[in-house]
Amino acid sequence: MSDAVLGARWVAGRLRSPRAIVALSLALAVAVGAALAERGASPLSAPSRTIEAVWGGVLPLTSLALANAVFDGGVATNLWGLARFGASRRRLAWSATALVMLTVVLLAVAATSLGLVIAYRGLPGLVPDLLASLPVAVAGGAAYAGWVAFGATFGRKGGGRYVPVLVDWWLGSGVGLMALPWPRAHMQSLAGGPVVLDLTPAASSACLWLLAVLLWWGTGRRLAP
Amino acid sequence: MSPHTPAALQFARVHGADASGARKRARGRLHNVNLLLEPGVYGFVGTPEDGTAALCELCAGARAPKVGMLTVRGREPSRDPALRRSIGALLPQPALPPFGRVDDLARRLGAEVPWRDLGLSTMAERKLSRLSFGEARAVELALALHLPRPVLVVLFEPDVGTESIDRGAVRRRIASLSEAGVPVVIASADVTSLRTLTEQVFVLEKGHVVGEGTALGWPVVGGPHIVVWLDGADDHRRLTDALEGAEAMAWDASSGRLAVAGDDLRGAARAVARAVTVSGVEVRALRAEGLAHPALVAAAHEHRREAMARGPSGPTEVEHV
Repeated sequence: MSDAVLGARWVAGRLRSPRAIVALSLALAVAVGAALAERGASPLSAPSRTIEAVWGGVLPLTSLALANAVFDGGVATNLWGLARFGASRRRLAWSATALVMLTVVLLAVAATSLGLVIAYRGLPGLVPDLLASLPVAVAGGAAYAGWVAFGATFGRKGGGRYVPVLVDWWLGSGVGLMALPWPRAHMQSLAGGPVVLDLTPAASSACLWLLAVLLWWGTGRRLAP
Repeated sequence: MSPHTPAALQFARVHGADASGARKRARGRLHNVNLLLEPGVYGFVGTPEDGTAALCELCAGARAPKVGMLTVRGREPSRDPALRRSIGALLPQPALPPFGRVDDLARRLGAEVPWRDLGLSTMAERKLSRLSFGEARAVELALALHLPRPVLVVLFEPDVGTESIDRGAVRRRIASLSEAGVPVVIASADVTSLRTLTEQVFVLEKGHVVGEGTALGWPVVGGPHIVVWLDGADDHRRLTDALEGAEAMAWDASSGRLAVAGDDLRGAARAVARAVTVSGVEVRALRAEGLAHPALVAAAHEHRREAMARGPSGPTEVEHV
């Protein structure tokens, strides 16, 4: 069995844990709840405010909750049970991180779609908004998952995973140079909010994808082979 | 060993720590350990706080030394996945894959484990994720001893939590591994168990290798023994002439102290009692000493003091065994 398959099997087991299932269910419930609440308060601004809630709150917190379910105890420590029998810690981590990213991306797509469908009920413009929003949700979800996985390689028990979420909240709300590595800044910009460093939407999207790839690669490189 | 053949196990100025304490903190550390070990069975006496857990985790490749280099046949286990596959390890915390069955794992590793002979016949069918702490340790011990073509076997406290395994089978397997040219490293605070398993013992204290067993009078010093205080050399001669069944003896003329080791504490006591009766020697005092590690550490300090007093021809920096 290859290292990639072993890593994926290990993460799949963790993602089936009650902790992960509760986190994913709660995320979808919050997305639906936010859409219903926004729809009740102001139908016209409901779509944009729902997107704000899903991308700004649900996505980072669910990424963190999934990282808690998968990487609690530290990435290297968790992978030792496989690495001791000849698997490369790096390849295991790359595989595990990729599967966490895929899960967060699927969640982002599901939560964004559900939220928008509810928020747009009876209003025109759902399909164009979905087509514009889903690629951002995919890239943003991958970037958030990359950040928490990379953070989990720091600290004895992987406590570093909390740091990116906190810093994203703090620095990602800005538009300057300090906001550049944080998904929140680019997702806000792509959702029609303040623009980071006057970057075009395409450049912001590229930043999100670049973050996801670099953090995925960095997560593996942080570990010994 | 040819100068170009890498040593079976080499510690070169190794500093490192384990992560077996609460909240993954280190329980012990190694400081500047220099050793060259060839095939054989080696015991490291000490507690995890003395660095036994760190030593095992570093040898198995669970973590890299903070400073220095640890190599197995010239390769670093912490950086070489293929090498780790050939290292049988029983570490402080069991770590097995969380999926599959025990015999699936053994098959994947190519390990032909005689589960029945080891007294673990029901274990092979069990799911890895459902094993208790003791069961997981027993499985790890069985796998560690039966990997195909092992380059090193590292066992941390092999008698703790593995009561379900047949001790005799473990001993026989360790002996056959050693005969096959595999270095076996056993770390334990229990000198009695090391005494029956190992050929040579190193004493760890607070992360330092403070001595080597034979030089310290092992197995008399450190093993369970009876200490007899006598009035002088004449009594010592008479008593030792009458001693039968003692495995080893050590006489300290300055304090009139004779240490007698037997097969076990009871055997040593019986031998001393018989010798006292036969020789008619008057014994000033007598004490049973089961304490092991402290006695070896004290002997190591004494040994070092003597070496320093003798001058520059003290112990070499690298222990080459």
